[in-house]
Amino acid sequence: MVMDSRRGQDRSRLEFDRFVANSADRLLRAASLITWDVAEAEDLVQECLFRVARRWPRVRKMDHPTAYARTVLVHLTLDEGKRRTRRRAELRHEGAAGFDEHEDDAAVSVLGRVEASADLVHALGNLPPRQRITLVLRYFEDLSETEVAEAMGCSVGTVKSTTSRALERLRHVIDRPTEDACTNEGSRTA
Amino acid sequence: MKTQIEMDVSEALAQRAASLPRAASERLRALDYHPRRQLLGVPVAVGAGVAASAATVGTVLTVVLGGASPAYAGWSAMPTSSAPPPSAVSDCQSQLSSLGSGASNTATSWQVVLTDVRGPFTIVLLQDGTADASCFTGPSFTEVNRITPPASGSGGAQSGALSVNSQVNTRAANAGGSGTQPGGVGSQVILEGTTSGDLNEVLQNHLTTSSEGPYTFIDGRVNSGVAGVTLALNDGQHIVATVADGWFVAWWPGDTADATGAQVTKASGTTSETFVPLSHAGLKAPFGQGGAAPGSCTSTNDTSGGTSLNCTGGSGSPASGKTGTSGAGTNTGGTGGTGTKP
Repeated sequence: MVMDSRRGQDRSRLEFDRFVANSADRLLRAASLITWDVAEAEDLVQECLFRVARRWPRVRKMDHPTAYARTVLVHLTLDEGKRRTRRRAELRHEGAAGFDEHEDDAAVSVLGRVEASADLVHALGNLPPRQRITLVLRYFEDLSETEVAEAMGCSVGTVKSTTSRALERLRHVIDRPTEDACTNEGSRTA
Repeated sequence: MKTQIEMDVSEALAQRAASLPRAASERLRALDYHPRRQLLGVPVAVGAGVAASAATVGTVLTVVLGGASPAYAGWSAMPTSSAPPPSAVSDCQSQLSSLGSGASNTATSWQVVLTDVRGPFTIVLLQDGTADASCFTGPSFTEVNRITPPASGSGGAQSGALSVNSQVNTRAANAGGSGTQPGGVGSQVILEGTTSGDLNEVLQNHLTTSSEGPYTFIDGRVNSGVAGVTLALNDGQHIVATVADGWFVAWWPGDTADATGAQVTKASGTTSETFVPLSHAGLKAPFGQGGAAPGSCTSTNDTSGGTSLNCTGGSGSPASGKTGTSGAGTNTGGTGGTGTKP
């Protein structure tokens, strides 16, 4: 029986190590988009994985352990959102950041786009945390509205309205006409 | 259907995520997230349920309790699971597909022939229709080896030199990252069969991994009707092999002990058989006449990071179906070929 217990522990540990190997990068990418700060993202994912490790015997039996980890990550972000936002604002005010601008420039250069793309990336970085989390889960993690709602612990309606507000804000920033406006414009042209 | 702004957001997020420093991800993977636990001490009793098991199993458990090795911690003398960890096979297939060597393999083209799971270590034998490969995974490493068949006309009875692409990915917590390095070095290959022929085309390798040290790997074919194989080593250990689809596979830490015989279980009962050199067993040599000693293989590293494997059978023995049209074998944990295509 002791042997079985040891083997079970070894197997469980191995499974968690593999889980970390397979999911850490994805979690970090999502966290970096949610926080818009790599260092904060690293801290968050680290804390997230520690929490998952403590609950691994239960988590390993879930159909989607990664989804659980993502939910933990989102909740950690939301719990500390105000503090992090305030701290980032202070750092920017002191001119100590530079990091976001550098990262944004890098992203924009990869995009190879013009002004609008630069505006979009900067605008994404300046969205309120909840709006950015919603967009990241919807358009980076490709989750459905229902899945986003589950991860954020809110209703589908809230996800829809948050997404809508965030997109509208981005449209406004990059001065892109809405889809309807485009259609109308096209009709008029035709 | 996504609107333009949604597509733009997707693209912007993906591009920003792609610019994430790789070091950050590697730092996260290198951390130990397991809570510290007080050691429970060496187990002193085996439960009644286990004690009531078959005599063979009892022998194996004795070996496990008394013969633990610092390297390959968690290794078990008997397979611990019939299925590999979920990501092991995909990891192996993915790494094999990235080996290159002019092959156009995709991850999904490598089909699993057999898996052998012992604690945190898994060996996977794979085939893709034209080549064989093996993959050895542990907590700190994943090592794949792909064996390219000899070029047309050079296989069969010809002296065979197999091109072994060996890749070791070591995930070392202290190293803070991962890297690729040449595979371990195989020091010896012995070709054997058993007196009855129940086990044949058996290859035993002394190999090593960079992170865990030497180990010995054995595999071969089993006749139909063979349901179980327990290997007897010359140091007194007994190792239960994984048997599936006409194959058997086993390995053990260290390179000082060799398998000298096996208990073979069939429907009619269990018999003890002795390994004999290939030529004495009346089996055919795998790779015709080469430069190595009869019934053995030698391996050498080449300049491209791969390994050439030269094997010969008994003197003058013709090639057998072991090489057949492919002449390929599987290899685990470094260099030195083992096994064959079915």
